[in-house]
Parts: sequence; C-alpha cells; structure tokens
Amino acid sequence: MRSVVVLAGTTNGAAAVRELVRNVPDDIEVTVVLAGSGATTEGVRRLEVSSSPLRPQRKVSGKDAVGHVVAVLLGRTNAAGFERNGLRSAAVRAVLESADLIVALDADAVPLAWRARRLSGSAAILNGLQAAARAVGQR
Amino acid sequence: MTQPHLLYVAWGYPPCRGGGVYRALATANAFARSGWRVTVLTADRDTFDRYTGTDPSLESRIDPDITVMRVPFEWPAQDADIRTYSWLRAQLPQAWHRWRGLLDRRSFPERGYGPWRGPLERAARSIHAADPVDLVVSTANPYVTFTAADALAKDGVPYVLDYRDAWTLDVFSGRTLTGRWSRIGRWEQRLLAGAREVWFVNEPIRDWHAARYREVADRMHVVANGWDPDLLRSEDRSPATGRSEAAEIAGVDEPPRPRFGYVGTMTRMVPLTELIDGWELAKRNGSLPTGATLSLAGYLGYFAVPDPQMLATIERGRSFGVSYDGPIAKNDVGAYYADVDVLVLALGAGRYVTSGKVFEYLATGLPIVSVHDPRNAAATVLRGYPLWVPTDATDAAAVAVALGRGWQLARGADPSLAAVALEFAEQFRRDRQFAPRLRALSDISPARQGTSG
Repeated sequence: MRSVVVLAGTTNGAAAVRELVRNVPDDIEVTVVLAGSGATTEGVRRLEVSSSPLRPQRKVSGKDAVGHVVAVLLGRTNAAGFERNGLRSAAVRAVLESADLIVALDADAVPLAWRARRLSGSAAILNGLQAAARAVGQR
Repeated sequence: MTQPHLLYVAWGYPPCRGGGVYRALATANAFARSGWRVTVLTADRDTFDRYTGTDPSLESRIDPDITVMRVPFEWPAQDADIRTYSWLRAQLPQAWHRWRGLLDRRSFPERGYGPWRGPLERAARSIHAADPVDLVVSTANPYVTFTAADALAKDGVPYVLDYRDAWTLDVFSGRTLTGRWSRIGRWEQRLLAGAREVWFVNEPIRDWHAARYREVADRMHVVANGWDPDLLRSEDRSPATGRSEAAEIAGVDEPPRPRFGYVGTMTRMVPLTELIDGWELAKRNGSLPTGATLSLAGYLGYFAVPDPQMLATIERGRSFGVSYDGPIAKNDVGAYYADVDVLVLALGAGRYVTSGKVFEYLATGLPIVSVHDPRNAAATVLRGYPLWVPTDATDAAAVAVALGRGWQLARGADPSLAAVALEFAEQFRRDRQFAPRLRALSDISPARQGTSG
C-alpha cells in the first residue's frame, strides 16, 4: 500500500484524521479530502472541496425524517454537496483513482467513498477509523 | 466418564479483550479446576480481531483441559467495506440501520446479536449429541447466549444464567427498559423460570431482579467479579513514596513525583472530563505536587481504535502531566500497578454499577481515589478499605480534593495500613466468589443425565 485517501465530510470525521494519520506508516502518502475549511491536519496533503467551514454531523430525528429523505433525493444535504464537489474536483478525482485505500471517516463522507467504487476498481474502500487503522496495520 | 460435562457459552472469550472477558475466562477455568469437563462455545477469533480488539496474552490463561469451540459471528451493521453497501446504506444510513435492526431482531430480540441464535443453537445441539452436556452456563451480554441454554433445556439439561448486569434494567439510569410482557420480557420470564440458578455481579442488581421476579428470587445469587491472584503478586508492590528509584537508593531528597494511574476500558459513561478538570485544578491549587503525573491506560471506547473525542479530552490535560498510555495486556497489569503510587477509580454513575477493576485495585494495597457517584455499587465494595478516598460529588472541585487526599495517603506510606488493605482485599479473590456456586452445583453428575439430543 502506497497511498491512502481520507474523506472527512464533517467536523466529526476531521477530528479523527489525526488518530488515523498516527497509525499510518511514514512511507504511505496520506491525502485528506475535507468538505470544508477549518480543520487542522498537519503533515498531510489536504484538499478542501468547499471554502465554507466544516459542519458538525447532524443526527436526523424522527420528526425530520421525511424532509431528510427528500433532501437526499434532491441532493441538498451536506453529504450530497461533499459528494458532488468532490467528484467535480479534478484533484480529488485524481487522488481517488490512484489510491490504494479510501477511508470515509464519517457518515457524510460515505456517499463520496461509495461513488469512488467507479473511479478505482482495486482500492479498498472502508468506513470508519477502526477499519482503516486495521487495514493500514495489516498492509 | 466420571466428570460432569459443562457447556459454557460466552460471546466474549479470549483473545477478545474487554471487561466481561476476565469473568468468562475465570468461570470456565474455575469449573475445569473443580473437576468438570468444560466445553466453551464462543465467537470466532476473527470477530475479536475485527470489532473489539484482542489481548493474545489471555489465551495462555485458558485451562489446557478446556475445549474451545468457535462459532462464526456476522455483524452486518459493523461491516466497513463500502464496496458492499447498497444505495440506501450509503445515502440514508439511519434508515438502513433501522431496517437492519428489525432484521437482527427477527429470531431473537437483540440488535446486532439476534442472528447468532441459529448458529449457536445448532452448535450447542451438536456438542450435546457428541458428548452429552450435564449443565449449561450461559453468560451475558449479549443475551443471545441464553438461547443455547434454552435449546438444551428441551432435552432436560439444567442451566445457569450468568446475567452479570441486567437485560431489562439500565444500570446507569436505573430505568426499566422493557415491560414484562414485551418480547424481551416474555423471553426473560421464560428463561428465568427454567433456570437452575441466576447470577449477578452485585447485590443491587440481584435485588432489582428478585423484586421483579419474586418466583425465582431464591435461585438468584451474587457472584461478584473478584480479582485474579495469579495476575497480581503482592511481593511486586512496595509502599509508595512518590520518589524516583534513584533518589530512593541514594537517599536524596528530590521534589516528589507521584504517579497516579487509571487502568481499564474508558467508555463515554466514565467521567473523564471531570477527572481531567479536577486534576488540573489540584495541580493549580497545590493539592498535588508539580511533578505529579496521571497515567490513563486501557481502551478508549468499546472498540479497537481510540474514541477521538476521549483522546481530545486527555490531550487537554497533557500540559498538566496527564498521559494516555494505551491498552495494557492482562499479563502486564501487575507491572503497571507496581509502578503507580495512587489509583484512580473513575466509573459511570448509577447505584447498580460496579466494575471488574475495583477488585483488582483492592488487591494492590494502594490508595484508591474514587471518581464516581457515591451511590455507585463500587462504593459498597470499597467501604472498609483503609486506603480509600471517596468523593461526595464528581465535579472538578470535589475530584481535586480527593486527588489531594490520595496523595497524602500515599506520602504517609504506612506499611501496617498497606498490610491491612491487602488483608481486606483477600475476601474479594475471584476463586472465593465462585466457591459457593460450585459447591451448590456439585450435585450434578454425569449419571443424572440420560439423554443425548
């Protein structure tokens, strides 16, 4: 394994970046793709797909469920914006195509990681810090 | 064969790491050492590698006469391979998890674990067919392990349910989780009615169940967790002074550098923020010497990778001498205690909450500072321990005062008090907790059991 792409769609994912980077051996290149600006990720390459600040993760209550489903279908959620902007960015597409491991660090990053299946036929695409740490530990 | 055959069922068993595993390990070993032939039914090794993390040192502690049978365990909700995800799971994860939860509970009402019922029952029946079982001990949680006992009960095999905590009681809030006539409630009533014995980790939890199921109350017993004598050797310990080894040898006076320690799994129920705030306050107001350090060891959260939010909380205390030292293998825990002057017992709130580590702490003979709700069941275990510093609240001010008192006790380093403390701990040895139950079950013999599935 030579390159890892870490996707953080919210501040929750961004908070986990440091812990993941700590687990990654020095000879592996790490690129962090963030849904917005503001998070500190020292010592790694970072690509921001939006100039607005990263948002915290939003839990959908039962009351908001219908509105949320509509927003997902219309592509109006934070996750949809991250997915759209990420796929539009040539730099992000390039790193996803060449990655050996793609990691979604929060739920809002999963749709972009899921779409990345078509960009990269061989990369492992994993959900969450735990699975990612295990994968880099076992390389 | 003259030895009775025990089928011991536990999801978490070595090399799984985590609080409940030590009890599972000790229970099976206790039966094996008391003359039972023991077969352990547990999840496969890969389950622990993938989800909980492992402590390989624990496997060497399994009694060599025990047969371990591992049953594959699937946990789709924890599946991390996004390539296998459906559109629904990727785009609407909450809806997918809700659907998955319903699916999980189809055969047994327990999210995540319900689907294990089928493989578990089949495995139990096959063991019984090959080598008739005389007693089943099923350990929660998860509660799906009780279904293996239920499956063999149809063939007349008696069973013990080791609840440890509670299925229908939230031990942190004290809230009843389900009614007696809910699906879980009906399972619980039926399982309890047929049980030879039911075990709990402490008296408050036993009492709650005894009041709810009066008809079974006389079969309900407390089997406290206790501490393992082979892991903690008292000769490793010496009274604490907070001075470095070099200074001790040279007889030089140097500023004290007491080391406080916490070891155990830290979940979000543990008042970590209050502990760090209290530590900072104690350092600032001089209750603790400037050189004092606080080492936090163990897993952060239930899973193999540290919980980032908890890591961030610990990071905040770094400039005040707080460090996170990661998980410690059970075999190395004695060495960790030997290097600590004062132990910190931080636990979630609730009168039903004990822990395994309180017993281990007692066995060290070191001062113990409590950072938990004073009504917590752990307090009843600690009452009478001469080096215990209780807190009347878990806010930063109260924690700071308690930490300061802990340091005073360590600085006093009265060997006679330490001896009394060690003597006090003897009653909580793990083998002493099992002894009455093993005696009570000694009437079970292979001759009593005639059927073989």
